[in-house]
Amino acid sequence: MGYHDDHQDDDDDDDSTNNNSSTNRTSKKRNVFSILTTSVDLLKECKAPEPEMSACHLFSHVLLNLFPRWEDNGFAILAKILQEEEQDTADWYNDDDDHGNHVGNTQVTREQVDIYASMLERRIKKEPLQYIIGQWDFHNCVLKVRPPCLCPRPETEELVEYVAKDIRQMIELLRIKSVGSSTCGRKVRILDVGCGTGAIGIALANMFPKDVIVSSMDVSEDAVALSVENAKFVLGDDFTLQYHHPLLCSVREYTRTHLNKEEEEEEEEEEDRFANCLFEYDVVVSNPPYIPSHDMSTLTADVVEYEDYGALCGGQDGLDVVRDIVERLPEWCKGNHHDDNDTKGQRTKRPFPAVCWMEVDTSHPRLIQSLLANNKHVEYNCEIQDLSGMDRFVKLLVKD
Amino acid sequence: MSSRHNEIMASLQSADASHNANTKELSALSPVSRLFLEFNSIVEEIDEIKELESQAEEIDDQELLEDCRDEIVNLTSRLEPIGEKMMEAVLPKNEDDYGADAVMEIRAGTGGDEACLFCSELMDAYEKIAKAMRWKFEVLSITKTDLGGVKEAAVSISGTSGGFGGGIGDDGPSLGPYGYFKFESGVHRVQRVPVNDVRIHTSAASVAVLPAPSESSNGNEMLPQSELRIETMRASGAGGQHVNTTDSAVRITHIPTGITASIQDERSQHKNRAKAIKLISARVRDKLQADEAKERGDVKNALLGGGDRSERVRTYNYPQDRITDHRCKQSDHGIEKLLAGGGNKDGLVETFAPYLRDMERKELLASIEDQEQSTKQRPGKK
Repeated sequence: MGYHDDHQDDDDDDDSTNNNSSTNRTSKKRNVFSILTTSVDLLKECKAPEPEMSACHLFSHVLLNLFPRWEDNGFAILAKILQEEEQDTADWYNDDDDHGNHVGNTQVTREQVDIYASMLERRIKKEPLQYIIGQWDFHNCVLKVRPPCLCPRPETEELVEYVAKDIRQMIELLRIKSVGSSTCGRKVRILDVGCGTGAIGIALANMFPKDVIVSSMDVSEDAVALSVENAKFVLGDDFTLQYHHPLLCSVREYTRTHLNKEEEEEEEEEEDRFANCLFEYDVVVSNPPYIPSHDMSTLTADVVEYEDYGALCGGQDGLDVVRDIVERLPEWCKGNHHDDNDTKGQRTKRPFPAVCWMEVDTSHPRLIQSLLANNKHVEYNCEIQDLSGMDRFVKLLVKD
Repeated sequence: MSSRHNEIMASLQSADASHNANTKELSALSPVSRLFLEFNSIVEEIDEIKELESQAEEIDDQELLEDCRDEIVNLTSRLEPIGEKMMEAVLPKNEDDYGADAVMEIRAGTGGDEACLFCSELMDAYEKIAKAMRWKFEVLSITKTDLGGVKEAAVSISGTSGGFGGGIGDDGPSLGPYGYFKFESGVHRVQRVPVNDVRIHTSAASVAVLPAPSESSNGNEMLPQSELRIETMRASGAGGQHVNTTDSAVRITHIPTGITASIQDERSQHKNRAKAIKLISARVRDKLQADEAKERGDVKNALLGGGDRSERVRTYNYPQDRITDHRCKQSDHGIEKLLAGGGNKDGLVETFAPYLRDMERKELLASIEDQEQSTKQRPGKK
C-alpha cells in the first residue's frame, strides 16, 4: 500500500513524542494532522465507507493513551481539526499539553502508525467501525461489540426510551399496590428476545438498577457470551441481581407446552431447562431479525459481509421471529404473579397489562396489525416512527 | 419611599390576619412579619418621643428637646435598613434565580486566536467555580483551536444550589446555577500582550447565561415535541438494521422560533439528542423571555430582564492587572487570582456579584414604583 512507503521514508528517529523537533520537516510528517489527512485521502481512494468519520474514530482510538482526557469524544476533536485545516492556513505553534491542545502537531510513534494502518486496512475492507474498535456507545452505556453479533443501531436506543417510559409507570403502579401489604413492591420483569450484545436489556437494567430484573435469550452462543460479558462490564460483578444469565434457545423452544409428546426424553430435558423460569414477564422487548429476505441483497457490504445473517434476516416477509414471539406471548406473560418477597407463594394480579415492544421493518406495522386482527390474547396497541420518520416500533398488549 | 412603606404595612397587616393561609405563604411571610413587628415597634417609639418633644416645647425645656430630637434621628435611622430588608423580602423574586440550572454559551469575539485563548481561560474559571459550588459542569459542545483556545462552547451547569444566598439577609433560599452566573452575560473585553507579540492586543469574549429547566423539574418546562423538528444522519433509505452508520449527529430545530441546536460529539445518538434538547430548551426559553422583557420595556434596565448581551460588561486589563465591571463600576486587582479564585469571595463572580445584585434590586424597585405611578395616574384602570 502506498502509504507504507511514505512512512518508511522517515528517519529511524526515536519513537518518543518529543515535540521540540517541529522544525524537522521529516518528523512533521508523522504528526497527527498529516497522518489524519493522509489517511482520509487513502480511505476515499479505496472507497471505504464514511472516510472522514472513520479516520476520526479509528485514529482517536489509537491516540487515546496520548490524550486520555478525550475518552470517547476524541473523534469530534479530530473532526474539527479536519474541518479547520480545510479553511485555515495558520502557522502552527509548538507546545506540549495534555488538554488536547496542539493536537495537530503532536508527534505520533511508529507503533501507533502501524496500529492505525492495520485498522485502516480493515476499514478499507468495509469492516464495521464498532468491530475494529471493539466497543461502542449505546444509550448511556459503552458496550463491547464483536462479530458476528449485530452492532446496536441508534433506532434501538429509541426503543429503549419508549420501553423505559412504560417501565416507569409500572414501577409506580407496583409501588402503589404494595402500600399497606405485607411485602414491598416487586421488580418489573423484562424479557429481551434475541439479546445480541445484550444492549436492550442491559441499558434497561442500567436505567432502573433496583426496580427491574432482566431475562434474555438468543440462538447464538456468541451472543449469549457477549451479553454476559457486557452485563458484567456495565452493571458490575453482581450483575446477576439485575440481569439473569441469558438462555441459549430460540423463541419456539422457550415454552413449557410440550409440542412433541412422543419423544419423552426430550420432554424431560426441556422441562428441566425452564423449570425455574417464571413465565410472568411484564415486558417483552425485542429487536428481532426483521429484514425481508429479498432485501438482503440490497444491503451494503459492511453490513451483509460482517454481521450475523441470522440476526438480520427474518424470512420472506421478515416476520418469522415476530410471528413466533406473538405465539409465545400469552404463555410468557401470565398475569398472576408470584411476589418476589412473599414466601407463602401467594399470587397477586398484575395491576397493568403486559406489554411487548419490538423494533421492526418499516413494512411491518400494518402486517402485524392484521396478523393480530383475530387474536384473542394479543392486542395491537400502536406503531411509532423513529427519528427519521420511518415506521419502526410496535407496541402490543397481552390480554389476561 | 415612606408611602410605599405604609402600603406594605397595610398589606402585611391583612396578611398577618390571615395566618391560616397555606404554610408556604406563611413561611415566606414570617421573616417579613418579624421585620414588620420590629419596624412597627420603632415607629411607636418615635411617636412616643414626638409626644415628649411637643411637651418639651411647651414647657420650653431645651435639654429635653435636644435629647428628644437626637433620639428621633437615631430611631429614624434604624428604620431605613429595616425598611430595605422588608422591601427585599416582599420584592417579587425571579424563580429562575433559585430553581433553574444554567446553559452557558461562550463565544470568542474580535481578536482571533487571542480571543479564543481568553475564552478558554474564562471557561476554566467558570468550571472551577461550578465545581466549588458542587454543581455539575458538562460541556454540551465545543470548538477548540489548535492553540488550545475555545472558539465557542456551550456548557450545562446543573445541580441543587450550593449555599450562596443572594439577599440582604441570608434567611432565604440559595441561588441556583442560573441565578449565580447570570450576571456574567455580556461581552468581556481583554487587553494584554499575547505570547507572540510585544504590543497590547484587545480582544473579546461574549458570554450568555441562559436559564434551563433543572433535571428535577416536571415535563411542563420542556418544549413540546410537536414544536421540534429532529434531524439525524439516517435521513434516506430503509434505516434500522439495514444500515450501520456511526454518524450520530443530531440537529433540532424549534419550529416556531427557528432556533436550532446541533450536537455531534457523542458516539451515541441518544446522548447527542439529550444534549441538543438541553441546549435548545435553554436557547428558546431565553429568547421568549427576552421578547417578553422587551415588551415590558425592561430594555432600559442594565440588569433587569437579562440586560443587553452585546454590551461590554467587563474589561480585563492585564498590563494594569485589573478587572473592571462597567455596570456597577467596581474594579479589583489581581486577574490571575480572580480567575483562579473559584466560588469564594475572591472569585470572579463573587467579587462583583454583590454590587450587581444590589443594582438589580434597585432597578426592580424602581420599575415597580414606575408601574404604581402609572396605575395611579389612570384611576379605575386596573
